[in-house]
Amino acid sequence: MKLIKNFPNIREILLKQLFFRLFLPQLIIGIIVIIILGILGMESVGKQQKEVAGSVVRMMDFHIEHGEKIINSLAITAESGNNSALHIILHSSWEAYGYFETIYFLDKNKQIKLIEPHNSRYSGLDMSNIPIFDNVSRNKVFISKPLVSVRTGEPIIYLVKMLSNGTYLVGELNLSLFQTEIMNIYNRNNENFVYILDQGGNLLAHPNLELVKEQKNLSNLKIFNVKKNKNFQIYSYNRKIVFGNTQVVKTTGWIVVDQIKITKFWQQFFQLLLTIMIFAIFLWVFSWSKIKKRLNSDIVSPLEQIIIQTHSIKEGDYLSLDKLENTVPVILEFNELIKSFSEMSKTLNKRENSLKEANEEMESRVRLRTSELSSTNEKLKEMYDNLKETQMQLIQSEKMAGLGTLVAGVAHELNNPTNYIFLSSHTLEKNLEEFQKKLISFTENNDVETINFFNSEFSEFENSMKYILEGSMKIKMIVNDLRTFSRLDEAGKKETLVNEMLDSAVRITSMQYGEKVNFINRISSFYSVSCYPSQLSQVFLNILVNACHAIIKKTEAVSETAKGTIDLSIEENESELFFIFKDNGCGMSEEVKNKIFEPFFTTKPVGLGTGLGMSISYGIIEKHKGRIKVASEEGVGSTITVIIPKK
Amino acid sequence: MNNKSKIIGISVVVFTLSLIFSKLFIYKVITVGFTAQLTGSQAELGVQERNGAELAFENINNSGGINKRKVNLIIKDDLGKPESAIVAEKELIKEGAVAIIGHATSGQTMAGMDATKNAGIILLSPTVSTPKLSKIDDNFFRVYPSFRDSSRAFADYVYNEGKIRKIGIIYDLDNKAYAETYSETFSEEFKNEGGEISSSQSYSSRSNTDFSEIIDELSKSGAQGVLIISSDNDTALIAQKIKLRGLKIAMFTSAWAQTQTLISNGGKAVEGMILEQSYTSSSKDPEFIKFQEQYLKRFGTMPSFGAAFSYEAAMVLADAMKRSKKNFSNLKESLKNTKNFQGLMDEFSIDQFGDVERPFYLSVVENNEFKVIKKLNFAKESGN
Repeated sequence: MKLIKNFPNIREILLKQLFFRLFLPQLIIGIIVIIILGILGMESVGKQQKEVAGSVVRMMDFHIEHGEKIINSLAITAESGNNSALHIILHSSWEAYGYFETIYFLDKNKQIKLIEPHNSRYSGLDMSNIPIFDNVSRNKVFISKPLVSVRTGEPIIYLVKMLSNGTYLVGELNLSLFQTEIMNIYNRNNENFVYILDQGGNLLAHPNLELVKEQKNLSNLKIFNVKKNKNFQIYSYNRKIVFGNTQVVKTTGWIVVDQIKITKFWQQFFQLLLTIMIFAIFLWVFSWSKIKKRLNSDIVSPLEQIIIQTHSIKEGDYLSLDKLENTVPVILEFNELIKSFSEMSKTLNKRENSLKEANEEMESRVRLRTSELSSTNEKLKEMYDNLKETQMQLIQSEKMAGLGTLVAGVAHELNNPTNYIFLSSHTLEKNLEEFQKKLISFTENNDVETINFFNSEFSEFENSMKYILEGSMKIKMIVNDLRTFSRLDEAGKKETLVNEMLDSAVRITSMQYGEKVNFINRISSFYSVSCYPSQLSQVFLNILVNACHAIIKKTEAVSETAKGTIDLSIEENESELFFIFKDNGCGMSEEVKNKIFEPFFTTKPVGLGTGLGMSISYGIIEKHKGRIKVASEEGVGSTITVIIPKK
Repeated sequence: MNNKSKIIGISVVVFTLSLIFSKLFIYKVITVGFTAQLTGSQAELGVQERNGAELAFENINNSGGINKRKVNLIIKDDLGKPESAIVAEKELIKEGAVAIIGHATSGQTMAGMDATKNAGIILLSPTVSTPKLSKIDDNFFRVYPSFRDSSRAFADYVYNEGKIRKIGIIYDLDNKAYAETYSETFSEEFKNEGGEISSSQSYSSRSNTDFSEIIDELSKSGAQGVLIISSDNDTALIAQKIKLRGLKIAMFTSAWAQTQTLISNGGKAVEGMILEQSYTSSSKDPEFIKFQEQYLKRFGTMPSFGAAFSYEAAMVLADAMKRSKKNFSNLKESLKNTKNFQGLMDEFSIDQFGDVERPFYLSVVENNEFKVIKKLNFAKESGN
């Protein structure tokens, strides 16, 4: 079906409308919802992070407090001045608590008096330059920034208590304490983890213990520098984008960070988004294929049917209307439309049919009239042709009659002198012979010279005589022919079998022309006719010879061995016999055809023909009350038909 | 569609694209390795050097990177052990480092440098000073001068100005390439001057010795002074032990111990100790002051010599990288072409063997601070 291309079809419009007004907005809303969910999720994770960090802070407070308590209780023993008791308590505390890397008891000069675990390497050492004593007071346990243990190099913080007598109790609290706690929280799956920084950004605890041991400083992190109380911070950590939350340990100013890699967090939302997208696309494809199907069956195909019907009605085809009536649209409007359309079509059909009928009647009448007229016309034409032919024949016979009279006269006048010449010539010939013999006999002593002279002279006379005889013979024949033409030579008519006549004519011709011409005799039955047999034979001979000449004229141009054919046949009707001679020779021009029966008209070179053959034939046929018809086409061949009445 | 949903839509697209691009940018990143001893009681030097390198590359990245490419610094701990030094270098090479800054000490460098040599990667040390690595055309470069001259000048000073005739030497075998060689050059010069090495004792810092036997021996030898060639922590401990023993002798130490740890762990014992230093924290060079401020702000402490030299090493490397081909195939040549480079403290050039010639100082610990007492100018090495 052909539609105008620039107009969208109903499917496209519906598709566009559904896609842009329904599907896409829904998808976008879906995506927006996911993003909002994600942001809300970040908020909630941020809150959660804050809580986790808070719990770590409380845990750290607890541990530091615990450490302080131990240091304080040790201090009480130390204040008592009982060094051996202190030694025992130091040892048991160190062993029991487990998170003190080393516990030192320093004298006023900050030299090591007691060290737990005991190691002679360190006893007596001066610790005064270790930067932990600047802010030490008697009331409070001082907590240092993270340092490495003098003894073991492990990451620690110092808890320092100054006693009333100016001595010091120093505990190295191992940071692995916090390490253990944050490792409990560390979730390897989503890379959510907690780490602790001191106020200068130095790591106190981190899931990667190496970093702590290496005294890594993370003060360059954005989260370390932004102290605002936001729900969460997004920043770059180790070249990865993370978001995290902080809590500050109030007693020390340390910062607990809980962070998660943002991609890890968003991964679940991306997965959800992807699922929704895939589902939405699947739903779209599915529902669109359904809608398309319904659209096709309920709207488009009835419409297309109507369009097709309109087209075929335009072409005048009402037969396929059944098909339209067979489609049962589900939609009411289409049902109505199809009903009214088919009714309209039917009415149109009826109207057109009656018009057609009226038209046909009219046409048949016209046809009748026309045929009547044309048959009359034909008859008239035939009559006219007959008239014309008769006129032509009349003219011809008149012409021939005139010529005949003239020729008869000439022939008669020529006949006698010619006979004289002929007869006298004969006599003269004989006389000359005798004269020669006589002259030779008179010759003396057989004079050879004289004899030879006479012989040569007489042979010349003989030749001349021969020419005279031949010429007069020829004149005689022409005169005879002319007499024949002019009915001077009458003989009696008799019933003759024409087959024989034709056969002998063919035989004679083929003797001379057999090499160049094939004769095909198609005569299968015997015909007899009342005629002048010798004259009719002459006619046939003339016609055949002419046909042979026409063939030779044509084949000569082709090659020496080329052959032509002459077809012979006889047809008959009630009253006449038709002798048909058909050759495939050179044919005749219209001009030649018109002059063919005139005496002395010839197309052959001078000397080869007399130009009398056909005119004589014409005369003979006329005598038989018959006709000769000539049909010819130049280059193709000629057909000569001789028509003789049977009686 | 209203404006709000448009904005959200666009931000989603931007967010997704930025994620994709942040992935892509990783391929533009230059990976540089760093290795030194970062853990344990002798880690101070390495930590300082790590911090210095970190600060340098943070500054470089913040000012647009190297030819618009950011640097990713990967850090490995060599644990101060020769065998770990090899492992650390191999790991850095495996992780795609195009050059490595490290190690802090000569022993680890001598042990580990085969790995970088085989991989054709530059090893640029901030603080290695053993003359054993001088005058060799290899992949090893440094911004710290060989102690060949400084140790001799130090010996001259000890003999002539310190008026010490008999000296005992204690050195750490765990950094043999440095300590033993230092001991040898110092001894040679000291003896040349007419001095006597009354005792020469070595120990392994890993053995956690309490030095009592060593100090006994030192005491017995009748030395007027002692040269300690050890890390900051060990030097501090030995000094404290000598003081505890009541041995009142002059104490000297090599540049290795020139960190804050020497003072904090040495207490009163290190007061008056004289040491060789290639660095002076009292420099008034504005570049140096700026560096000190930045370092303090970033790490909460003052930088030691390790941090400063490591910062310089990173800057030298970045400068050479800027002049190199994109794949750094000619980095070695670029480094050799480092001429009249403006360092934090002075101007220096790298020679064809990857070594530098820089001045050094003699300092004394006074009131818990290093104080320069003499600037020793570099004397051209002759022979060797």
